[in-house]
Order: sequence, then structure tokens, then C-alpha cells
Amino acid sequence: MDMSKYKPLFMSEAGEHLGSLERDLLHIEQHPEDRGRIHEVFRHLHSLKSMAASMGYEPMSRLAHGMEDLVSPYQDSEEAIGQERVDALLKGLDLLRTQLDEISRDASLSPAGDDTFAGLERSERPVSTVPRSAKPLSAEAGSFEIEVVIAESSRLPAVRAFLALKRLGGIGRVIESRPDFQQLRQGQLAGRKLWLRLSTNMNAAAIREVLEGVPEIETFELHSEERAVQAAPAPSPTAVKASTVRVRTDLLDFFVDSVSELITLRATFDDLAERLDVPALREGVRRMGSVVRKLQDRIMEVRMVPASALTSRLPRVCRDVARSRGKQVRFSVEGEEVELDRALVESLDTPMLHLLRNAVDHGIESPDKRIASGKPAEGRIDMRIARQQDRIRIELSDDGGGIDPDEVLARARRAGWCGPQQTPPREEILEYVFRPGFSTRDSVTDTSGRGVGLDAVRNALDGLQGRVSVRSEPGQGTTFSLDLPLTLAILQVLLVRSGDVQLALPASRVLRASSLRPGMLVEQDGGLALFSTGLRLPFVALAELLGDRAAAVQARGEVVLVGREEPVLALGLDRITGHRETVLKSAGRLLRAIGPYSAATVLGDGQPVLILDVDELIARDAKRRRQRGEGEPG
Amino acid sequence: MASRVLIVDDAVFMRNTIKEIFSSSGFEIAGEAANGVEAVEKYKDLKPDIVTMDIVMPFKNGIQATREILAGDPDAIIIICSALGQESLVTEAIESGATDFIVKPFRGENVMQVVKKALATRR
Repeated sequence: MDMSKYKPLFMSEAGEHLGSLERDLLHIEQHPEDRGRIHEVFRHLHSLKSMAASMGYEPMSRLAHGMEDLVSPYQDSEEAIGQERVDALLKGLDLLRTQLDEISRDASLSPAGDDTFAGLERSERPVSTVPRSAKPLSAEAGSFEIEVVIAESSRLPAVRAFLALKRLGGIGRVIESRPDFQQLRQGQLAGRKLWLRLSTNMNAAAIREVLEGVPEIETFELHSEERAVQAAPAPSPTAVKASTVRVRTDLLDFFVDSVSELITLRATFDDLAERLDVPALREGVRRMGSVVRKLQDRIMEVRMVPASALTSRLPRVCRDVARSRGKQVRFSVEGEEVELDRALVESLDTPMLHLLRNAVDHGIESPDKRIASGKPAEGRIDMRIARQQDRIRIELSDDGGGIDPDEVLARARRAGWCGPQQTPPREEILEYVFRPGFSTRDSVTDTSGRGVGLDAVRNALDGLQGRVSVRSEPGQGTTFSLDLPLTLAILQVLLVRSGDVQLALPASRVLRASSLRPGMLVEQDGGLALFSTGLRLPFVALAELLGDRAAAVQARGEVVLVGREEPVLALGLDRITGHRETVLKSAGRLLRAIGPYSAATVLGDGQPVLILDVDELIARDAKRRRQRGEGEPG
Repeated sequence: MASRVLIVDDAVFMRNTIKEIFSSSGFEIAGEAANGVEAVEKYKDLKPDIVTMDIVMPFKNGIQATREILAGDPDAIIIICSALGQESLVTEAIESGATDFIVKPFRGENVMQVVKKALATRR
């Protein structure tokens, strides 16, 4: 039989096992007493072993077998699994990953050396007639209600149900079932459904494992009654539905691109309908718009993946960096279930790794130092992911030494970013850590500035229409906050004209717009300020920020107030020409080199438009004012 | 370390079919038996990792052979080979301790799914 056709399936399943294995091993390292997870580790290794064996990947199967041997003595014993052994298992995991990679490249597999697990006691491999995880984790008996649906493809569904019932009976007592044993024996099974109540000492994971070991089960659901929940250490969703399919990501990308084109096309028809003023055409375009919007919503939904796709490898990174630096760190993640755009996940991967490495390396102090300052030896790094309407917020906090603002200021002065007499407010000082060239390796200490590559993180976030900020309390810790749009591809913009160019402002950053009346502007601190409805804001002509002084003089038609939650800057421009939903074309850092632009888009009439980077505009204005302030002493 | 299988069936064609399915999935064929008596003897000699067992066979049927093999080795993994309409016989074999069952005519992937799960639960 040709097994090569199973290879893609093998690759994806094996990859999933390896991912779970890593997560479980890192958990065990923190909680060596958690038998449930040790069983899980064993189960993953075991599945890998048999999968690899049936595909003929001998070295992989052998390695998984060897790793199983390392785990199996701890499945039933009271003894906690040691650090040395977890290390060896993680090493084995890395080798399994290498092998999987080799399989994907059709290369020959690197075997595990004979000394891979040297010095560690191996198991005698006792055999038992019940699944290994089916060991009581709690003396308390629980009761479970279980519904099993046999696969349509099963040719003896009643016998299949009979087998499932018998296996479950092996780890507890079947209190009642519909149909019962006798009816099943006679081949009775209505709707391929088996319902039963099971009384058992086992937890939900053990029951799941039993059911997963029965072939031809389409779905099963497991409901625990009363105290049984306490016995389940790692309850994951207990309903397993087979109603999903895997979709190639390039297909998804194609759908997104096509919908993006549809949106642009719709804008074209919009303009046309407007000009021709034919009611029937207008109505048609309106309806097409509503269909396109629905399609867009659905496709965006499909692109969403749980944040765990982003966070899954971070615990391992944290652990490895911590160990290499002789630090103790506990890493936790909250909000792994929050759904993110797949493209966002891919683009955030490197920045998150960067921030985490920094937190371990420069945030968390050495155990001695922590104890000396009255903290527990083990540091904490917490990651929180939350959705706020159409934005995603990610925070990474450590309880380390924090960033010393004096040190940062001193360095900013040395770099010439700020005058020797100037002392900007604290938040602004911390902003310096994101500047290119802020930190060099030799000057980084555990407690003072840190900024290795933080400019790269900021750049990445800019490219995603997002923002990164930092707050820090010396001695208490540091928090990096990332604020991102829910999806990358589509942006609402305000089209504006300044001088003879048409530009776009992200609509979410424009808080108010009005026409500019005489008397609203006053001279202030060598610059202009806008007084309007109780607000006083720095005012600047957009054209001036773009370096067009001639246009800047006339650009006084309308004013937009930009900012995030509160307006922080008033921008003068000729006029606002429209509001559009646009599809972003990524242009990367190229655009940044020519001006304060974050992306580009194409309008319905095919005209390209640059999208202004509001944060960069605000920063440019602040810098301009500062320079003017310095240029006119006194 | 390929897993070793003992194939028990009174029909040569069926044995060959099963052999092809197992060997193409990387299994080693430990041996074959054409009836229940031979099956019990060969199991003792060969100590295979897994047995495929036909039910209706001369001298000693598959259910009886299953019971005897399990009496000597409670951890034996025995997969019953059944045809449609044999529900009651298969349930009897399962009650006697057979690990799982497959239904003729065989399809390679279905057989392997059952076999892999059986090996995974019972080793």
C-alpha cells in the first residue's frame, strides 16, 4: 500500500502532537506532580510512535519510544518527575521536530544518539489491560453523561457502540445506557447514537482517551455531573465535532484578495452611479455593496485563528532564555482563546519573541537580586490578550527591575535626542527606548535601560497599523502594551486634500472635523494653537508637516482633530473629499522613507492614495515645536 | 521495530489481502494460521504484537481461539475479522476480550485506523 498519500495528514497530525507535547512538558516542569499531564505526554509520544512506525519513519518511532520509556515510570508513581528528565524530554522533542522537518523535505532522518538519554533510568514497560491514563486521580467517584455518535461509514454501528460501551465499562460502571447491551447485541442502534451514564473514579481526560481509542466514532460529548469536574485537571472542550475542514492558507489569501478587489470595484460603481444618477443603477450598487460586505465579514471570520497560534511557543522560549541566564521565571498567558487575524499572528510572531526575550533577559532580575530586594526568587511574566471592539490589545508585563528613567534620559542626552537641560515628562522619556540605536549591548544592565531591538518592534507594529507603548515602575516591573486593529486588510479612511495632493487619514484616528473660521487660531509659544469649543490644541497645516511651506500658507479650509482617545493635534487642510472603505496595499518600510505614511491604497477610479501615519505626524509636530523652542532661547 | 502481526483466516485469499494491507503499512508478518487450533499454537510460539482473527473457521472458531489466547496472555491484541450480519458473533468475541473488529471487505485505511488505535490503547 502506498503510504505517501498519507504524508500530509501525518505531517499535520504529528505537528499537532509535538505542539501539545511541548506545552505539556513545560507545564510538567512547573507542576511535576500533575499526573494528568504526564499521562498526556505519554499519550502524545505514544501516538507519534505508532504514527511514525506505520509511515515507516523508524528513527522517529524509535525516538518516541525511547522518550516514552523516560515518562512511563512516572505515570503511576507518587514520585515527581525530575528536572533532568524534563530536560532530556525537551531535547528529545527538539530532535523529533528536526526529524519532522526532515520528513517534510524528504531528507533522511537523523537518528537519536545512543547517549541521548544516558544516565536516566528507563522503565521496565509494565503492561496493563486498561489505558494508562485510566488511573484514578481522585478518590471521589464522579458521574458522567456521555453521548456517542457512531460514524456513518461504520458497517456494524451497533457493534461499534457495543465496543465503546464495553471499554467505558472497563474504567467504571455503566449505570444505564440507551440502547442497552442486549439491544446492541441484536444490532439495534437508532440514529447511530449511544447515550449512557457512567460512574467512575477517572477524570474527563481519561474518558476522552478511552473514546478516542475507539475507531469509527464521529463525535462524542461528555458532561460531568456534580463533583466530577474537580477530578478533571485539564478540561478542554469536551465536544468533538467533525464538522470542520482544513483549508489551504493560500486559498484563504486568494479569497481575501478577491474580496478586496470586489470592494474596490464596488467603489468604482459607486462613483459611476453617483455621476450618472440612474436610480436603478444606484439601487443595484447598494445591494451589491451589502452582499460584498457580508462576504467580507465571513471571510474575515474564516481568517481568524485563536491567539494560541501566536503564544504556543512562547513558554518554551521563556524557559530556555531563563535557564541560559540562570533566572527563574513563571510565564502565564491569559486570553489564548481570543481570535486574531491569521496575518496578524504571523506578523506579530517576531515582535512578541523580541519582547519576551527582552523581558527575561533585561526585565527579570537574577534570583539573588530579587531576594535581596524582597521579591520571590521566581519572576513572573504575564501576557494578556483581549479584544476591545475592533481592536486587539496585547500586554506583556514582568515584575522585574523596571526601566530606570534617569538612565534612559542620560542616554538620550548622549545621543543628542534631547538637550542637556531638557527634562521631558516621564512618559516621553520612556518613549526613547523605541528609538533606533537607543541601546547597545554593552550598555544594557539588568535594571537600567533596555531597548535591544525595540525600534524593530515599533516598526513592525507601525506596519500593522498598530502601536506599542511602555510603562514602567523602577523596582516593580515593566509592561509593554500593543494595540492593533482586528484585521489588517481593510481600513476606513477619510480622504483629504492638502495643496494639490490627495491623501487619506485612518478614520479611527480622526476624532473631529470642522471648517476653520477666523479667530480660531492664536499665536502661542512661537507656534499656532487652535481654540475651539473649550479645547486648546497645537495647530499645524498638514502641508507644512509634509514640507510644502507654500501650500501651508493657504491650507486653512478645514481642520481635523487627530489623536487616539483624546485629540492631541489639530491639522489644517484644504478640504475633506470623502469617506471610503479601502483595501490596504502593503508597502513596508519603503513608504516610511519618503514621508509620514503607513500604507497605500487604490481608490475606485484607480487612483493611488497614500495613507498618513497619524502618530508620525504628531511626533513631527512635537519635534518641530521643540526645535523652534530651542532655536529661540529665552 | 515494526510491529509483528499473526494473520488467522481459513481462506488463503483473505490472508493474502490482510497481509498486503499490513505489510504495506510497515508491519512485519509474524506468521499465518488457517484455523483456531493453529492460531493458539502459533500465538504461543511467535508472540506477535497483534492478531487478526477470523470468526468462522474449522476445528476451533475464532471466538474460542480468542478466549484461549487471552487466557495465556491477557494483554494480547486481537482484532476480529467479521462479515456483515455477524453482529452477535462479534459482540460475543468482544465480550470474550477481543480488542476491536474490522468488517469485510477490508479497506486498507479503515483497517489501519482500527489497528493503530488498538496498538495505542493496549500496547
